[in-house]
Amino acid sequence: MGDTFSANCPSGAFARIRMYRLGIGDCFLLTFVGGGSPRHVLIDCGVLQGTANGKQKIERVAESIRDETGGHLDVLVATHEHWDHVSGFQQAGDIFDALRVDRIWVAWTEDTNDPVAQRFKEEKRMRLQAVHMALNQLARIRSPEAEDYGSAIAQLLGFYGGPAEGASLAAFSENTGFAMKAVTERKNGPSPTFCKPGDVLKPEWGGGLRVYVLGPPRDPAALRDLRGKAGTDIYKIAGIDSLYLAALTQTAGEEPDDKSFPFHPSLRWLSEHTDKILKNDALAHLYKSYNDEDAAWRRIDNEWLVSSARMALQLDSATNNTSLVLAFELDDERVLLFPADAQIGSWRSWLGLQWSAEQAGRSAAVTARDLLQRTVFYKVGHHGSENATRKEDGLESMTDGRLVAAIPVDQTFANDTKKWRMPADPLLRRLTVLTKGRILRADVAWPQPDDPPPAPGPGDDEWAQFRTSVHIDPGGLFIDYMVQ
Amino acid sequence: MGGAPLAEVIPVRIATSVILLATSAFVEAIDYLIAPNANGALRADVVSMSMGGVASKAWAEVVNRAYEAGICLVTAAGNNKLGSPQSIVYPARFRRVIAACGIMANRRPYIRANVGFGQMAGNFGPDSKMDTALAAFTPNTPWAEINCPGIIDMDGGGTSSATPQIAAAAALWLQKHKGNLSYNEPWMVVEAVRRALFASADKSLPNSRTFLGQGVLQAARALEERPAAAQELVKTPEDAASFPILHILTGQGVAAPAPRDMLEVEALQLLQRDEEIEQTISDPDLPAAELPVQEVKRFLEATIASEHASATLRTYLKRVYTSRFAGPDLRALPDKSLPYGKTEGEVLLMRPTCRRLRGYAFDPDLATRLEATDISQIVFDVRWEDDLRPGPVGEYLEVIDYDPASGGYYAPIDLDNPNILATDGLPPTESNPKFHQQFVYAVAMKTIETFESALGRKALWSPRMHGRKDYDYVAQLRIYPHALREANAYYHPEKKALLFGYFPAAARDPGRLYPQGMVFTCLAHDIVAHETTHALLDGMHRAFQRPSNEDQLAFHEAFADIVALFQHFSKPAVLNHQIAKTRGDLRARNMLGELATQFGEATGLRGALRSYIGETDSKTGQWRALQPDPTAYQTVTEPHYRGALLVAAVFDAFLGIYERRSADLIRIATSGTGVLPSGAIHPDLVGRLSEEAAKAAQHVLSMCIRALDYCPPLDLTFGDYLRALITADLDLVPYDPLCYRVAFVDAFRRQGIYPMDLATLSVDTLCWKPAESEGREVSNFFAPVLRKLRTFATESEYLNSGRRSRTRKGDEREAIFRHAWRWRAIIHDQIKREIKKIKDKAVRARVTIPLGLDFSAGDEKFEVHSLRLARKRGPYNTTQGQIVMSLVQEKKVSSGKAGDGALFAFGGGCTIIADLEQSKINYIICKNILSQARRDRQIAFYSRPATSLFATYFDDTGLNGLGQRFAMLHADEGDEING
Repeated sequence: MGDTFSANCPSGAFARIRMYRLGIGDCFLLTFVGGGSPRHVLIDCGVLQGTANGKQKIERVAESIRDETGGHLDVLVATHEHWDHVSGFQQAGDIFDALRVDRIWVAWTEDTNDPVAQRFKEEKRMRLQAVHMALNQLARIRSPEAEDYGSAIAQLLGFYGGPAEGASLAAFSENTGFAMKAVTERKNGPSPTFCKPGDVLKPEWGGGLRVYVLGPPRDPAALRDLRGKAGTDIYKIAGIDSLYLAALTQTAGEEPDDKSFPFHPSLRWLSEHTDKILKNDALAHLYKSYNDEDAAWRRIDNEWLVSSARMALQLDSATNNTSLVLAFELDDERVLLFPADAQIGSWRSWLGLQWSAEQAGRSAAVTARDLLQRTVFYKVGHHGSENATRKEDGLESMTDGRLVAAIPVDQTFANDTKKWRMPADPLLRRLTVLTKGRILRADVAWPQPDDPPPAPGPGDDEWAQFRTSVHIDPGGLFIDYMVQ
Repeated sequence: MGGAPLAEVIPVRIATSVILLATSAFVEAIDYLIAPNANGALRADVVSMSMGGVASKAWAEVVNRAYEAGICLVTAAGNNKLGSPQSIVYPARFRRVIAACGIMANRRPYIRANVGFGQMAGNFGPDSKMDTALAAFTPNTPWAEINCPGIIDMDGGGTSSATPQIAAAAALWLQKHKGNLSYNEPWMVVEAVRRALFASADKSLPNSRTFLGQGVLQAARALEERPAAAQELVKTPEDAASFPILHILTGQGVAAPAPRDMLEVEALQLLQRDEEIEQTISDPDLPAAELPVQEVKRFLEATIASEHASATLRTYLKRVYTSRFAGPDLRALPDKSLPYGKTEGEVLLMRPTCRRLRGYAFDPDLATRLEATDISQIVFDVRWEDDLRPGPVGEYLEVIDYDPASGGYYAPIDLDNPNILATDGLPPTESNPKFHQQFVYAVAMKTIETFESALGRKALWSPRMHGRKDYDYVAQLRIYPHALREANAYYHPEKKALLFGYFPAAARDPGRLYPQGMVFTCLAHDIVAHETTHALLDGMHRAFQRPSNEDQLAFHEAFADIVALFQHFSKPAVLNHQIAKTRGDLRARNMLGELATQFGEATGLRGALRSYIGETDSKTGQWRALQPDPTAYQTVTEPHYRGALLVAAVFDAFLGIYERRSADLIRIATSGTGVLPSGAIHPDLVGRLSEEAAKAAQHVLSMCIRALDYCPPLDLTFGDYLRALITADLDLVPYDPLCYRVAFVDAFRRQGIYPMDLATLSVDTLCWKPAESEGREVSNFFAPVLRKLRTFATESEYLNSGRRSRTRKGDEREAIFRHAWRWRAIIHDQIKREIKKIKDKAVRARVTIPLGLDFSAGDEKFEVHSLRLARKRGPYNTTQGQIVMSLVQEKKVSSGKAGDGALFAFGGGCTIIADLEQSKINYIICKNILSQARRDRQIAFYSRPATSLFATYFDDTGLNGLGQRFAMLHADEGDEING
């Protein structure tokens, strides 16, 4: 346990940040050295569905965590309910369940007693189900157009751990929920702390260590990333989709009720009753126009199912914004920022936060901007996508010259397989400037001990210090960064 | 004549178009040729005429006269495209005339089945005519260029070009043999010529008799044919413009109204004009007794039902039909021939100018609000369509009420049903889908009318694309009123369809709406008008769909909103009400400047989806007037929000114009103080202010629409649009006492919208640079192109004039489309030739760079992207005839500075505005393909940060089209200007 850490740790280190190299998937083990033995905080453990050998990788990581911590986590953090953040707690459930865990930190949005959180979860469940049924229906249609639409939507569902081969529908939509529950409802306890923005967490072992909670925001509009439009309320929106869902259940073979139709059911001529339709001249003409083979390109059978792409996105976006955002403030006031996948709405909400002098244990109140300005380690949000790092009042406020960034990403997989812009070029370029090239990436084993500094890069001293602060696991499992 | 160089040619001009042949002109011409010349000899031996038309008695008689006089007539069999007769036209149809059919270079008959879709093909048949038909080669034969002595193009097409080949062969044969002829009857010469040509023709091709008649012309062989002996020649029976069918109908106990032969001619003409009738009879020229009974019956049914037949003929045929085929109920046959504009008895019935249809002024929500009940419903005067079928399905629109999510159809409305006609359509209701169909039809048609009246021409939808090919004409835009179950509506550019959604209103605190009540986007005037405008704009500028800068998609949205917004002012009742309510101050909160209120509230906004006069503060709930933010144009990128800046500028300009127009009224009403007393204003003042507002709105909307012709064909920016607005208006309305143009410039400046490269901002500097400034080389270059364009214009005028010889109703727009399509190719080839002629590279560059095109190699590909004749009516009834043409070129360029990035298509080109009266080019509005700066901007645009989750997952190409729709809402609600 402590031995490994000390062995790799130059003297004078405060903390070590270990990024497990899972590709598109977050798993960070933070180890703090205070007066006594090292203390371990694990933030997330997950890998995106579709990653090659995902389960095996996760198991190796879980074993490594167990061995490294001696089977004891001081704090376990699960940031949000996305497969690429929590899959490990299910995929390597045996190992995690056997760990001794003192504290569990999750976002307030996971609290079953919080009515807002519950509505949010319910809406999410409903949407996920809708997306799913729409996908199933597209799969049944078997046209190239339906196939295109379907595959585009299915790509988005990788964040929900499915659809895995042969998995039942229910199992799929519940998968991620189970993984999160493996944390919040751990058999061996403890019960989780539901963190709200504005909270400060102060582990009893941590000495001067303070953990500021920045997100998820309490304002539902911010959760949805809505652009402060007058009076927009997320929960009002939910009703709008109820009819869409009704149509999907109907097509899935269940009995519809009258309220599921826009008009009195007697006004509708079911497509399958062709004999009746063809008896009526005007209808027959309509029917023939629509079903004319030469005009098949103008049919719209698949179009309404595309709504589910919008739902999948909203779902994804809203879930990203439920990310627990933590800023670890070290004894010497330096900050390590872990925003998980928080998007703009969340970032924007931080600006309204303030911690009193008393909470912060300082002479003056602390704002989110202060924390950003003192950030020396930034876990880049959402695998480096452009929308999860706010520039103005975000990245641009991280002005500390010592700033280092870490991106858990697999660019080849993201760009080539998923066709996603991860990591985003403009963000990467800006990060390079702000960090002077000190960006650690899960998909690149860099820097090696002999690597020259990137150009235009840090000064010689800075470079020397950075290089000696990084340790790359020869087995390829992780990259360690020492905060000295 | 190239085929018979030694023959003397007598040109006789009888028409301006090959398909516009007046009966009397043909008769006069032939009579002129029969009449002896000064030497007492015939003026002509052979007549070649590449024209045709509908038979008449006079034609038959003159053909007989010519035959008897010994003149050999060769005329074109005629051509067909879609929907026109495929059998040989008159006079070629007469047996005493040689019909010229076509054979193609690949030795296949030049007929419909052997040519591509949409291309012209030659006529053939009926069978009995083919004995006196002959084929010659076409298309792509040498053809003299009109007005260009010495220029021969290889663009001869149709049976028109086959005709002179046969006539030339006849002339050659006569040259060789005429001296040896000793016949005692002049007609024998004709028969001798025909015999020689027919006997020598190549009859070896399959189905030769059916398609090629006597075979393929072999002129050299024909010359070897010796003149036949007189006794071998058989006189062809006299031709008559009559119709065997009618002969068999006589003696049926039905007395024909005199003169019967008039009816026969009419029946024959109908057969030529009406495809439906033509199809009933396989060979109308067969002797009466040989006609199959079933065909006679079908012919009668079709003729009785035909809208083209006269009342007399139909009445007569009805009687014939009943007497001959007793039994079937004739009343069951549709009678489409409402006698509009025709005398029936004594009464002259006029075709209605419009169809009155009730509908919502804004959306159904207003109908339930007490303060607005008097304006919630209005009547739309929709342009009358004769052939409106249930759906409604008309010339422009095809409403298809299929609801895939509900798994069924809703029965279509028949707007011609007398009960509906008599009551101004169905009453507005949310619960009857037939009303929904009526409403989308009414609003979409009104929007189309607005466009057409501003542009002075027919609106066309964008063609269906097959790769880069755009020949596939789309007649009707489809409207699916219940396509989606979501709070959305969009124009689908690939399906050429508008899709509307429905959804239950938001559950909690739904404003004034009934919770969970159904909201139909197809019942919101603004949404229907907005989406229809997307389709219309796509029909004019299809490159605007492809985003190449921040403004392009935003413009699409803005323009759709502008059209929806200004249509509010065309409803007098609504306008009066709102003017009274705001006491004439349109900057105060009112419904006219807001869009889609019900939709906004039902989706959780506290008010309209978009408002261009003010907004409700999210914190205080107070309404406040919008203040222009000149920095927003630099920062806002999401298309709907960015578009809103342009709409706000246009709306602001409108308000300025309205205030200027109404300032005197306010002064009069307030004795010069300008301060209205409190309380309601006088109804007369309301009336006058409304009038000014309506006028101003109509002018502003027309200006906005007309500006579209003055936009570059691609890569449009708001600044370009402002320049287009100003230039178009300056061209049409040189005198501007109310300072409309200044109002626009001013409003755009307040919004911070400027063109990129102007030193100063004023009406003069904003006007596009006149083409003269490009210098003489450019105008010389365009001289031959302009000549071609004039021919195009002359032909287009004919298409636009409404005189449709054989085009059926509704085919007029297709004719315009096909005509332009064909001419785009002609103009393209002309320009290409002109460019090839310039050998000097530097000169070539000087000529082509002003066009925004790159011809450094000389053979670069380019496209005549669009070509339209525009005739606009300005104030004081000034009209303006113009040709609007655009040229576009595309290059694959690298997105990296060092040429290492991914390739993307970079476009350039220009819109050319040519003045028809003065025969010169007015403007060349260009986007230079060689501009490095523009290319860099485009690269920067493509590599702009994906500011939203949506953009992270879906790239600009829209991933299978998912991202490419013009939705009322944007697909991702969560985006912010980031960076």
